[in-house]
Amino acid sequence: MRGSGGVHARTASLLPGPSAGRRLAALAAAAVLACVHAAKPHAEAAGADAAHGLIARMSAAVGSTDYQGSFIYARGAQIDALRIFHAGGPGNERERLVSMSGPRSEIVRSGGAITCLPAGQPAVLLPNRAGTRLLPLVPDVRGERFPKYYRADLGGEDRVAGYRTRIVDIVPRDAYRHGYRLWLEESTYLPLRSAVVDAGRHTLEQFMFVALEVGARPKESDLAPSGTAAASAPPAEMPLGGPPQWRVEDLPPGFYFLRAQRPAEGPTQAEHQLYTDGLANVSVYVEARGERAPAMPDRADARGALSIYTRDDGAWKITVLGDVPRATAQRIALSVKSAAEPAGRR
Amino acid sequence: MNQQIQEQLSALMDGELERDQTRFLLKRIADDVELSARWARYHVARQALRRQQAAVALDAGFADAVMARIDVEPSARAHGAAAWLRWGAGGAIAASVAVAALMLTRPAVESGPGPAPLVARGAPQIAAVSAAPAAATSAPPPAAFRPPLLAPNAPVETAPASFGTDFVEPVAADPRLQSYLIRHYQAAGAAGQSNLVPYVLLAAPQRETAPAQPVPQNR
Repeated sequence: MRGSGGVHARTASLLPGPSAGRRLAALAAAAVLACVHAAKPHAEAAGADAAHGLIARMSAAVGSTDYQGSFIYARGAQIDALRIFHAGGPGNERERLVSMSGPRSEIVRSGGAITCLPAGQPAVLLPNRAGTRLLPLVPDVRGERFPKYYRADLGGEDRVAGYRTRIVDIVPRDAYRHGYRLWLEESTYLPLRSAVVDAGRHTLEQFMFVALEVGARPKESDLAPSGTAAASAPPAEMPLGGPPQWRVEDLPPGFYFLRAQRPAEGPTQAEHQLYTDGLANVSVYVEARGERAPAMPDRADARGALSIYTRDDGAWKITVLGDVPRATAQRIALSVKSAAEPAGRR
Repeated sequence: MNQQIQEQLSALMDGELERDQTRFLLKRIADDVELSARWARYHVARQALRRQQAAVALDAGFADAVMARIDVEPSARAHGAAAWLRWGAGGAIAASVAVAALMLTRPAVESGPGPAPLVARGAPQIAAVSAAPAAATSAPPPAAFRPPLLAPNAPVETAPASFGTDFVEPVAADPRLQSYLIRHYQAAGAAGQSNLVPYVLLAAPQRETAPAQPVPQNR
């Protein structure tokens, strides 16, 4: 037996609240993460304000900063090495992402267009109206719903790719979403490492720069695609002809309907609906199952932060996927109903 | 060495030793050569398991430094009912010990026995992958700088680096799922949910197919 009965007897009688546990965990993490100095106590509100401030600066920095470097990207058992070149600036942001391990692929972004050169496949142009960046796992926390379902905490300090960083935790307030841990460079606030963590604070997916030059404007040749895209990718989806044919009866708290489309090919009842809580997005796909295909039992699958839940419902196959815990995908998948079906019937 | 001391040593490693006993044991470790050697061996074994460089050599101020660190962390005192909370308290002490050990010790040997062979074993595999495109054309002189990004797009045998026993099978991803994923992220991007679209997944596609877990039919 380890320790002593006395410790356990005393611990059981004290019963501190959950915030004491968080403080303890934060202290342990701070000490482990090479912070030689003990974490200074912060009032939670002040810490949250500072954390929000850092995140806001990060959001501005990822677009405006020039940088080039290499990072590793790990999810599940797979680990990849990638190189990124980024030239910042309003209106003419350009970047290029090249895989350095496995088959050679590359993605080039110039303003609102993405050229994708996947390994062994023809290059395609993808629209990128939202100006999405190539650096992965950088959460967008601008939404007003964010504080209701997530909390931002200041972590300790750490060193990544030779730079000093501040750690910021984005902690979900319930079990229906994942959290993030961000390592932000001290002076530019560039995210040098980001991890998606589950409720037990286990890392599901992460990237980390291993070498980086901040402020170094990439050469023109490093921002240009190494091949040309022959054609734009045909639109995979089109607007619905009318109101959605399907609905989710039992959405987890905080999630709301964002939009619905239907595949460009396939029966008119097939649908793709998107739900969000402001940070995490979940897609619901309802497609014809195929007449001859035998009905399969429900399947749950996870790849890094991504959860996928598939179930067959009569002539339809329902697939729910998103960067959310399995419980979220499952709850949504089990409550997808035809819009024609009366509410409340399960 | 008696059984009780061994158990205490083990408990200290796990951060589960009471405060008073910790103080007592650390003093003993600092004074007792055999005990300090065992303490060092425990650390080396643990670090080797975690594949970290181990460097444990105690000096006279070790016990004081650890206790000083525990003292500045008042909440490290064990209290709390749930198992994870107890771990949290113990973890803080364990972390204090680890930090003190790192600060006060110098590497006893130039390269630790544990991690070095692992690195050496991993290196040729990585080199083989990055060298593959060059080998497909002509071998450059060894000293010449070769910009790796300009290497021709030759087919390479996928040899994903993996840790431990997690062997990753190079399996083509399910095309239906791939299409779902792209449409999911495109829709999210088009709806203004922009910053999370992982184009990195297109550049580094899935090379494994994790076995799907069957779900009990409970509906």
